Amino acid sequence: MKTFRLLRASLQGTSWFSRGGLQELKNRDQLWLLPLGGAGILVAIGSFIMMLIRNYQGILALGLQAGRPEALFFFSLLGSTIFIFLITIPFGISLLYFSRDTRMLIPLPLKDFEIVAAKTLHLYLFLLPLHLLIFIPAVVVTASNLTVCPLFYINTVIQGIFIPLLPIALGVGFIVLLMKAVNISRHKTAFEVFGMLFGLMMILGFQVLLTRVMASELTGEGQAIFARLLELVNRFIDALPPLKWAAMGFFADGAGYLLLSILTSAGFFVITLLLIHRGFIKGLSARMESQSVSRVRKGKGSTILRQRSITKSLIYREWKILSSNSTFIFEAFGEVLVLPLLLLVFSFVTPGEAREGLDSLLAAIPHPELIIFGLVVLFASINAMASTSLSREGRSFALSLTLPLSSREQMKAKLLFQIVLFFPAYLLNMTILMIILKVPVGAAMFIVPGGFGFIILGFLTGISVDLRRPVLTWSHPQQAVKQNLNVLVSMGLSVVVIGAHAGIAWLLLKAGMGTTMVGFSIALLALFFAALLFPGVIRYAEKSYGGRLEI
Amino acid sequence: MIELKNLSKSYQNGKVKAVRHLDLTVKPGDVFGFLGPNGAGKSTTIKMMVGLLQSDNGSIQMNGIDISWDPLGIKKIIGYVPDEPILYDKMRGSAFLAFIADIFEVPGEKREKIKNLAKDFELSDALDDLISSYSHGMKQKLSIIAALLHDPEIFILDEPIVGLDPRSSFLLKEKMRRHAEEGKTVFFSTHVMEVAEKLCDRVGIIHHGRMIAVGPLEELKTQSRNSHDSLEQLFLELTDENV
Ligand SMILES: Nc1ncnc2c1ncn2[C@@H]1O[C@H](COP(=O)(O)OP(=O)(O)O)[C@@H](O)[C@H]1O
Ligand SMILES: [Mg+2]
Repeated sequence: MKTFRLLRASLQGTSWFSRGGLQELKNRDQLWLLPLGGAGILVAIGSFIMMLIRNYQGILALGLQAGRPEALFFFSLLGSTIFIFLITIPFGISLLYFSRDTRMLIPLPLKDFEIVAAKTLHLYLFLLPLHLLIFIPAVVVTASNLTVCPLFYINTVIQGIFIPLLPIALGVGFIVLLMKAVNISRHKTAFEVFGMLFGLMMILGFQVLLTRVMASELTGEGQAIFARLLELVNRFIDALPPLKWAAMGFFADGAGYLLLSILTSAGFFVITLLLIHRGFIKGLSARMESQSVSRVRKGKGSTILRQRSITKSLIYREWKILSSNSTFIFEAFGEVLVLPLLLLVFSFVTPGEAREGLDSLLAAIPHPELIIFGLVVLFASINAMASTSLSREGRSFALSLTLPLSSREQMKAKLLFQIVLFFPAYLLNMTILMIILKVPVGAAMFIVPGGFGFIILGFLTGISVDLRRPVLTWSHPQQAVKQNLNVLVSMGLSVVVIGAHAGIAWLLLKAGMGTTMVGFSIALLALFFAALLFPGVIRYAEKSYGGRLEI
Repeated sequence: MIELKNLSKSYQNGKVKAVRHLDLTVKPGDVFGFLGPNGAGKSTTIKMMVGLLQSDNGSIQMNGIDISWDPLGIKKIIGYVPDEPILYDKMRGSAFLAFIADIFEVPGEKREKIKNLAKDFELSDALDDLISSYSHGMKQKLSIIAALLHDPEIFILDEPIVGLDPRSSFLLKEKMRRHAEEGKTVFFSTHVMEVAEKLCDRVGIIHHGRMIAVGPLEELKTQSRNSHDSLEQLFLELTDENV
């Protein structure tokens, strides 16, 4: 039972749900944020479920037309399986191979199997809610549209528990083989970033696909697409027997199928664990050695001789902190790239016929240059970069305090870094959208300076929040960005700022001003506010850099 | 020259009083040893001196500059070695030293000296490695080099000997002595009595945030109730909880 003891210890020691995590929030006087965050998460989950239910109703109807009532279960289980498999890979790698407790576990008298099993179960508990989130709405939709037998509910409980075992076993098996095949330690960061980007693409693709299914249903365009979909449904279901059994198990004579599917999931899980646990600890210790010998060309420190300006050095420092781990890199590039990625995925999954209909739809948008201006500005200034700028420094923030640097210099470097990161991305996004929407080039007159102004404004709101209460004592980089409440607060502030500008734009349009003039006025306004607020933020920063924080 | 007047600091809104009404003067040319048991308030005092913490009360002056008036002016003349090395792990050792030198605006032609410092501390071979691959002692050495590279007027070290190998620890003590002989001020905290005894011109003993004894070593030894031959015995007597 050491496996379960180990599981309990790792849950207590690492998750922010633990008593220690709560205590830390309490120490920082931020306990009140818990219900607030909870409410936000509930709203997000609620709206996701609503969206799923609408789609599920469509899929169920589709399945009934094809004579396969199990289609909905099949597809929801397929969705969950793919998701969990994909998420297992990055999380599994960090949990199995790179979590901090491995250093502690290796010297303890534990068997390979006990560690692997405990970590896999940890992964399972972590991913179970995700599975339920995708799976339960399918149960609800089916039960409210068809008459179901008692076996149906028994099946729900059983499948709820067993199905995730299959993709997790697959994922963990994949990871272990991968780690045996290549020395990932050296390219860990690149690999993780790639994995996360891939995951993001999948999520975006899934979203876009779902909306597209809905849209084609609503407009009824193309009976041909529909017929093709029916055929696809049939072929898909027959191609993946384990999921087919699981889905069929829900219906009247499905007891045999149910048994079959449970045996597959559980059997697969146990067999995988038995196959892969061998040599796990040995692999871990070998990996720790290879981590510490990352020697490169020997210049005997000639870098020291090259003098750079203070600002350049500070920007270099910002880059080194940002690129120090995959979480930060992904956060930055995810935010910079999310719009082009979305467009890319969209263009892949949209068939030619639909694109023409879309064109006419887009042509009907009023003031397209103002709309995309607002949209891209929103993308560029709602980000987690400025609001975690001090937090990302973590414990090394103390160094910033002891260096003879004015808060003006610190802020200037951080601002420049933000501009280098986001302004090119802003221009790129803008160019893509301007081409797609055929916006006249003249709009660049206000789009370019306006974007500049808003990026500075976004930086100023974000950094002010982080200056007030940076999260400096994190032990995992996730805590500095993803679990940092400063991000939420600053996003809220940014929405208010941009919303106020949008309101003014609307009033100006109402008053009869021309589109370009409105854009121009808004751009000027943003630049004006940015210039007005910058000195204030520097004065505010002086306090944070003057030893106000207890570190 | 370091002057601390009536310095106080508490944590967690006054619940933990770490430093209470501390007065202290350290003259240029002196090596001053700041002694005290664990949790006495040594690090807290030092953090206030280098600008990491704001004092609740009192004033800090160095070479005539007041920290609350000109914090940058003070930071420019200080070299600070923290108790736990604070470095950017994903930089290479050389890049980190270059960064610090840039911030202190050390001109290119004076940087050969930095490489010599690294050679002295036997860190040359590791300079081009990532700091994350350094051992604790190597990080500490890098931290010392970073503090010395701009030739600070005031050298402040928090428990610097802990974790250094014998040669480096000998070398560091040398550097501290030489720094003082050049007329600069050296201030360091420790709880290792032998180090203090060998190195210091004057010592101060802090206990529960209060300075309980200050003066030249010889004077302190004779002043006390029983006459002691070692600083250790004096320290034990002064900080004994049971008297
Ligand atoms: N950030 C902090 N928050 C709360 N208490 C602290 C903090 N830092 C230090 N203390 C407390 O202040 C006292 C003095 O600590 P410190 O100055 O680190 O002692 P020393 O360096 O002499 O060992 C100790 O009681 C310690 O627990
Ligand atoms: Mg200390």
